[in-house]
Amino acid sequence: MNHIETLDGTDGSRIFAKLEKSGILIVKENRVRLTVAVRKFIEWARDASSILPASRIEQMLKEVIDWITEAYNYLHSENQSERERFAHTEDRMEKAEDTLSDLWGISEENLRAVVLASSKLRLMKDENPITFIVQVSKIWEKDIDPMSDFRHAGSELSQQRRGAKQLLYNIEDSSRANYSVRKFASALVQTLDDTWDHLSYNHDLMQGEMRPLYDMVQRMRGTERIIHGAEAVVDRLNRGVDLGVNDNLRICSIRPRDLFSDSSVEAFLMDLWNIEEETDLTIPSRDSIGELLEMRQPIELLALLKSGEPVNDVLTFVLQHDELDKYTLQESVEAVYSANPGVQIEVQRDSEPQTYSKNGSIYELSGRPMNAEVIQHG
Amino acid sequence: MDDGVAKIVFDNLRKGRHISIGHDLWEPILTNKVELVDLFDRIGFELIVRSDQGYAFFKAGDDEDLADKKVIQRAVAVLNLLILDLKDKISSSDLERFIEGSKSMPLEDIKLHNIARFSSALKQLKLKDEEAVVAVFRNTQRFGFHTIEEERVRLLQASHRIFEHSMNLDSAILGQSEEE
Repeated sequence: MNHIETLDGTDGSRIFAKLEKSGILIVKENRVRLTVAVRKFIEWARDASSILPASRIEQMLKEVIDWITEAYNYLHSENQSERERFAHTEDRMEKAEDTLSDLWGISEENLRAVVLASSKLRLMKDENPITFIVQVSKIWEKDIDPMSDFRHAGSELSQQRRGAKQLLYNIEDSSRANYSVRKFASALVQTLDDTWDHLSYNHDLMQGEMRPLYDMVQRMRGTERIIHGAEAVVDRLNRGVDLGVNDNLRICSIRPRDLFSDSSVEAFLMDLWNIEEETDLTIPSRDSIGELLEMRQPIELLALLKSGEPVNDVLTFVLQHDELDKYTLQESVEAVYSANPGVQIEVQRDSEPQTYSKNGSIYELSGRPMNAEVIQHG
Repeated sequence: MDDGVAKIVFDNLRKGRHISIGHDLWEPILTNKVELVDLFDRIGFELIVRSDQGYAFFKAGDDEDLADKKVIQRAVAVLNLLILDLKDKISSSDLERFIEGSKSMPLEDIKLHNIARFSSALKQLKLKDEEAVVAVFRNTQRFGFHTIEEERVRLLQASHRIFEHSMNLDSAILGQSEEE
C-alpha cells in the first residue's frame, strides 16, 4: 500500500478496505490472501493474455495497412501545405512501424507461450482430460489455426498487404515526397516483409508444437462420443428398447434359399466376370452377303409392263417372261394377284378357263385369263 | 482383376464378416473396389467399401438376407459395455489405444456382470454370467469387429461401425429429450 501511495498518491487504506469488503481479499492474522475465485480469475486472465489470438494479430496487420494507406493519401492531399503533408505522412508511417514492431514481439511471445503450454498440457492429458481438451482446443482453434487462413497467398489480407507495399513503392518513387519520407517508405517496405515472414515462421513452429496435441484432442473427442454411444446402448437395453440393429447395421447372412448350391454360385461368379455387356436385341451379323445376292426379289408387274403394250393374258406373260425364268408358279401368281398400283387388271369373263403351269412346279392353276395394262396418270 | 478375387471376397463376406485394414483381403478389395462393387451390384449384393475408415462389408438388401438379430444385438452390447467398463479401469490414453486396435485386453479380465446396470442390461439379452459374455466375444469374432488372439480381445477397424451405430442411438436419445 505504501508503494502504491508513493507512486500516484492514492489512498491505499481506502482501496484495501474496499477490496476486503467486496470479498476479493481475506485478511487473517495480519496476513492478506486472495480468495480462490479471484486467484482462479487472475490465473485465467494471465493464461489468456499470454497468447494473443490470431484474430487480434490479423486486426493489427489491417491497422498497419490502414496507416500506410493514410500515409499515401496525406502525401497526395491537395488541401495541405507541403510541410503538413510530410508531417502527416511520416506520422502514419511511424504508427505502422510501431505496430509492426509490436507484432514482432507478440509473435515471439506467442511462440514462447505455446511451447511452455504444450509441455504443461502433455502432463495434464491423463490427469485432467477435460481441461486438456478445452485448453488445447482454445489454443489451436482461436490462437493458431485462423492464422493459416490469412497467411494464405490468396487471402484478402495478403492482397491488401501487396496493395500496401505498392503504395509504399509509389511513395518511395514519388516526386511529391522529400528524401526523408522516401527513405522512410523504403525502410517500411522491408519491415513489413520481415515482420510478415517472422509471423509466418513462428506460426509454423507453433503449429508443429501444437498439432500433435490437437490430434490427441480429436481422438479424445472421438472416444468421448463412443462412450456416450455406449451409454445409450446400456440405457436402451435397461429400458428394454430395441437396438435397431436390423434397421441400421443390416449385417447379412446370405443363404442359398434353395436356389443355388455353393458350387453353382461359385461357377456363376466365375463365369459372370467373363461376360461381355450386350444389348437385349442384337441382329447377328452375316458371314458374307452371297446369300443375300442369291435371294430373288419379288416380281414387280408394273416394271414389266411399262415398256410394252397392254397384255391379253398377263399370267402367261409373266410365266413365259425371259427374265423370270427362275421364278416359280407360286411367285408368278402372287405377282399377278397382288395389289399392283399403276396397273389395271381385268378378267376376260367370256373366255374359257385356262390351265397354267411351270416346269418343275407340282401345282397347276386353273382360271380365266386376265388383261393387263399400265394406267397413264395425268 | 483376378477371377478368383470375387469368389474369395464373396465367400468371406456373405455371412456378415467385415474385412478391416490389415486383413489379407483388404488390399485386393481396395485395388478392385470399383469392379467388385459393380459385379456384386449386378447380382443383387451391396458391397460397401469404406476406404477412409478402413473396412468393407456386404450390406443386406432383403430382410431374408439379415443375420440373426439376437446374435448381432449381443455383439453390439458386449463391445459397448466393454468400452464403458474399461473407461473406469484404464487411462484415457490406453482406452484410445484399445479403440484404435493397438492395445488388447485379456478375456479373463472382462467382468461386465460386476456392475449392476451392466448386469441388468446383459440379462435382457439372456447373458446370465461372465461365461456367457465371453462366449459371445468368441462366437461373434466371425463378424470381424474384433479378434481374439492368445485369449486377448483386440478391436478391428470395423468395430467403428458398431460404435457409429451406438453414437446414432445417442443422437436419437438427445433428439428425443430435446423434443420432450
